Parts: sequence; C-alpha cells; structure tokens
Amino acid sequence: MSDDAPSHTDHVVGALEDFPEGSHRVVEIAGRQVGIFNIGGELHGLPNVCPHQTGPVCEGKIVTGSLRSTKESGWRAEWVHDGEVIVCPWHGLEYHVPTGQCMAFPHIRLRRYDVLVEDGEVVVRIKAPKRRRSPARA
Amino acid sequence: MALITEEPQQAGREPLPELLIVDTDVHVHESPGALEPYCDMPWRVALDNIRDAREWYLDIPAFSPGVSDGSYQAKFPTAHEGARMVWDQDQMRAELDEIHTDLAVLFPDHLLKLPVLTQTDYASALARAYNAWLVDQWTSVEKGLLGTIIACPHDPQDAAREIEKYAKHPEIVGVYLPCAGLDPLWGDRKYDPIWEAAEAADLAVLLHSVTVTHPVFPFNNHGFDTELGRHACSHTFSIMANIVHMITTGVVVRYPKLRIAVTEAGVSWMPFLVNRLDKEYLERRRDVPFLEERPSHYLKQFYVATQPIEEPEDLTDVAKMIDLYDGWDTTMFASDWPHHDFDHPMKVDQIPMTDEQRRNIFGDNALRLLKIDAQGRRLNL
Amino acid sequence: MPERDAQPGTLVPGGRRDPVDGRLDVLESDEACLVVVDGEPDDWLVRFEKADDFAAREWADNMARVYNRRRGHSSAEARFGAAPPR
Repeated sequence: MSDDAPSHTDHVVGALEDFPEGSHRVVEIAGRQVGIFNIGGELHGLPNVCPHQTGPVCEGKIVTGSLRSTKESGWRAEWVHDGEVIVCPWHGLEYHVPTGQCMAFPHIRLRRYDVLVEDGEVVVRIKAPKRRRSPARA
Repeated sequence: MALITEEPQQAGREPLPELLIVDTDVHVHESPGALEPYCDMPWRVALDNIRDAREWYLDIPAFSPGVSDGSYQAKFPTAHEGARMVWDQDQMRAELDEIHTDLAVLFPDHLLKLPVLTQTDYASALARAYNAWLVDQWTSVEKGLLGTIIACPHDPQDAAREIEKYAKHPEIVGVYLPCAGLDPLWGDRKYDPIWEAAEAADLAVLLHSVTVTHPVFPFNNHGFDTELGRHACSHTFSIMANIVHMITTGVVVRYPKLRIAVTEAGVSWMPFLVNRLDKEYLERRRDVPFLEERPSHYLKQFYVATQPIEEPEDLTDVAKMIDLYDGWDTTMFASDWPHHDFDHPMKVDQIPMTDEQRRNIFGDNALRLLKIDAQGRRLNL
Repeated sequence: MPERDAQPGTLVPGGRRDPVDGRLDVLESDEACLVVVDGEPDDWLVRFEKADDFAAREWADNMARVYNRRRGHSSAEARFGAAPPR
C-alpha cells in the first residue's frame, strides 16, 4: 500500500471480471460516484460529474473515439482515441478517459483516480477527509 | 491557494422547485400509428401502411421525411443522447417534475416538419389528426400539460377552421405555426385566414422551426459542410425570416390584437434584428407604409422563448442582451425537453436577474402570453 | 407500433442520488482553479487551467454553483410536486 498519501483510502469495487475489457460502469464509494473504465486492459477512474453542468459524464452508453484534424494531417480528419472517449450524455462534451482531458476545452481536465488490481480485486484509491472514508483498507 | 466560497447571492430567493415555472417548449412524441385512429380517410390507410416504419430522430418517410439528425454527413458513434422521446402523459409529467416544470406548452416531434410534405390534403389531414389526438391523449390542465394546435400552412382555410374548432377548448392555449421548410414564409397574404381566426379566438400563435435541408430559404443549407453549420443557422434564421416577413407585410398592424411568440432560437439574435430593422427603416419606410411605428416597436412585442439559451462565460452578457431588446417582460423560459439540446431551468436561473425579472422569465410572461392563470386555466373562455 | 428505441433513463438531476456527497468549492491558485469537495485541496474533481483565452474562474464558479444549487434541491424535503404554488 502506498505510503506517500496518508489521507487516502482504498475501496474494493468488485472483482476484475466485473470490469471486462471495453466496459465501463459507475460505482459509489467514499461519498461519490466514480466511473470505472477498462480500456485495453488498463483501468481508469473519473468522477461522474461533468464540468459543464454537472451532468453524469460517465454514464454515456458507449465509450468511443473521436475526430481530429491538424495541419500535420493536411487537415484531413483522423479517427483518434478509439475506445478512449466518453461523451457526456447531457450536452455532448467529449473527454479523453486516460488523461481526463476535455477535448473541446483543453484547459479543462477531470481528475483521474488511481484504479488498481490486487488479488483479482479492483481497488479505487480516493483522497478524501477521514469522515468520508468507507470501511475499506487504509 | 485561495478558497472561494459561493457568494450568498439572492438570499431568500425561492429555489426553483418553489418557483412557478411555465415551460413554453416541450415535445410530445407522435407516431403514424398513434395518429391513425384520428385521421380522416383515405389518409388513414396511408398511416396504417407505415405504422411499423423504422423511426429515426424526427424522420419517418411519408410522415416526416428528410433528415434532421445530421445524416447528411458521416455519423460517428456517440453517447450524447439525441433521440429521447416522450410517449405519454405520465412519462412527460414525471420527467417535467424532475426539471421543476409546473406547466408545459406542448409541441409535436415529427410534425415540426409538416411544411416539407408536398401533398396539401395529406398535410392538413395529419394536422387535424394530431390536434384531435393531442386533446384526447395529452392535454390536461390538472397535469399542467397545455396544448398548441397545428395550423397547417398548406391549407389556411382548413387551419382557420381548426382554430375555430378549438378556440374555446380549456386545454388549448395557442396555435403552433410550423416553420421548418416553410414556403412561403409566415406573413404571406395567403395565411391571412389564420391570423383572423387566431385573433378572433384570442389564441396566441407560436412559431417553431427545426433544422431540415429543403430547397427554400433559409433551409437551402446544403452548402454547409456540417450539422453544426446547418443547425446554428437554420433554426434561428428561419424564425428571423418569418417574423421579418410578418412585420413587413403588415400582419402586426392588420391584426393588432394577435399575440405572437417565437421558440427555439435563443435570444441573442433579437438585438441584431431590432437594430437592423430600424436601420433599414430609415431608408425604406416606403416599403412598409402601413407601419405606424418603427419596426422594433412591433418586434419588441413578440414573446421569445429562451431555449437554446446562449452560454457566455459571463452570464451578465445574456442579461445585457435581454436589456437590448427590452425583453424582461416578453422572454419566457423553455426547456425543449426531451430534445438533445434541452435547457435545464437551472441554466437560465444563473442569469443575473432581479426577483421580479426571474418570476417573469420563469412564469409570469408566459401566463400573460397564453392568458392562463398559475394553475393553467384559460382566463379568456 | 414502430419499434421503440430503448429509453436511456431519465437524464435529469433529482432522479438519482447526488454524484458527490458534499459541497463543491473553488480553490484558486496562480495556475488554475480547482473544483474541490468540501474545501479539501486533495479532494479535487476538475482542474480549470488559467490562460489568456480561457475563463477558468468563471467555469469553476459555474460548476460549483450549479452543483450546490442542484444538490440543495434534491432532498426529499426540498422537492415539490407538479402543481404550481397555491
């Protein structure tokens, strides 16, 4: 267990097989909802609240890719970040899950929670004050 | 780091659930099968024939033809919920409760595109069927669901008869004027029977457009590469074009008691139009000799629904825009539920406003336009 | 009857538990505005980086304000029924 973040708590949210590759679901831990994404075998966690109007950003039905067009590509559209983009179901803002980056507004970034796999269990690490810690590993 | 706490603004202000909210743009979902029992022959046979048609967003061939969902371009996968539909009263009431709406003004889904149908008798039969279905299945003062009947532009005489038929219906509060793909624009002399009937019925008329691509102004938008371009222009340009025509053909002076509202165009275009028309009037007054006042005088009497409300980072800008068209007594909240770009009332509630302005925007202005009380009962029966 | 697309579920606030059980606040530094939970610097949700062409403070304020107002309305006591006030 990490020693350099004394105020964090770890929360078991299920078995690894509950989060198969390509899936995403929202869990409730430590007084908040967290979207857990399995992208290519790597697990990512994002808060389920969109910076725009606090919509349920992680509840979009699919995780998809998006389009980019740059001078380097000769202004041709390229399909990028396949399987890595969540689109907020409320107003359509796109977020790159592995970085938390908002694609429309590069100055906006969602916090990424550490999501670990230990002994076949998926563990989300939350830094929160003591009063909000759930009974979980310290 | 400095902790910033929210300013204690508007202490004592009613929270949204306690405020009277009249939502002036909400959409029911009609389908060919739903309208079939209400439809005259022989058109009922045609509705039966397509009752199992695959349904795209506001797009059923032979019912609401032509794309309205960005299908003129590549369709990439997305999780943005663009195709929500509301199928019955109970679903609508439950969902409107979630956004704190007390009274809602109902518009159709598919028949937003009524003008693109080329067949006059079919279009007017659909309008009559929708009106009958609406009052039978949807409208309810008790549930706060108030209807607008369709005035079919293809057949103004028939539309006038429909307005007369529902003039005293306690659950009908206005006449919906479809604008998508409309030609000629509202204001053309052929539509005079509709103004006459609406004025006599003391029912407001409410213009509503939607984005389509159709070979008439301003829907000849095929030149845009993207739905962003088409959507940004067509809705709002359609509303502007129609009300410019209504002003410059004298509808506003020939039918002085007619109450007119526009929907789903946002508000930021109003200052532009106010200023542009008055500037034009300096040079072109003789084009409109029937106007007794400059054009903005009439334009400022139009009621404007807020959705899709503009979102500058500083919402004081929206308040400034409303100031610029003297719109605090004529601007009305609208959500456009359940459509993809709906506005939650909390978004409009962020605009800096006095308590009185807030009550007006969220409810009192709509009550005045529609001549209803806070329970949704008509005051002019 | 045409096939109904699967309804995605109500996508409006009030119909579900709050995504964060706490108040949102804005912490401002020279570089960015963070939206945090209950004033805790470590418990941040979103980072709005300051730049000449980006109104980070306004964005952060908006997020916190919208959420706190919405949360204040979502308790059973605060919610009212469909009928307008009498």
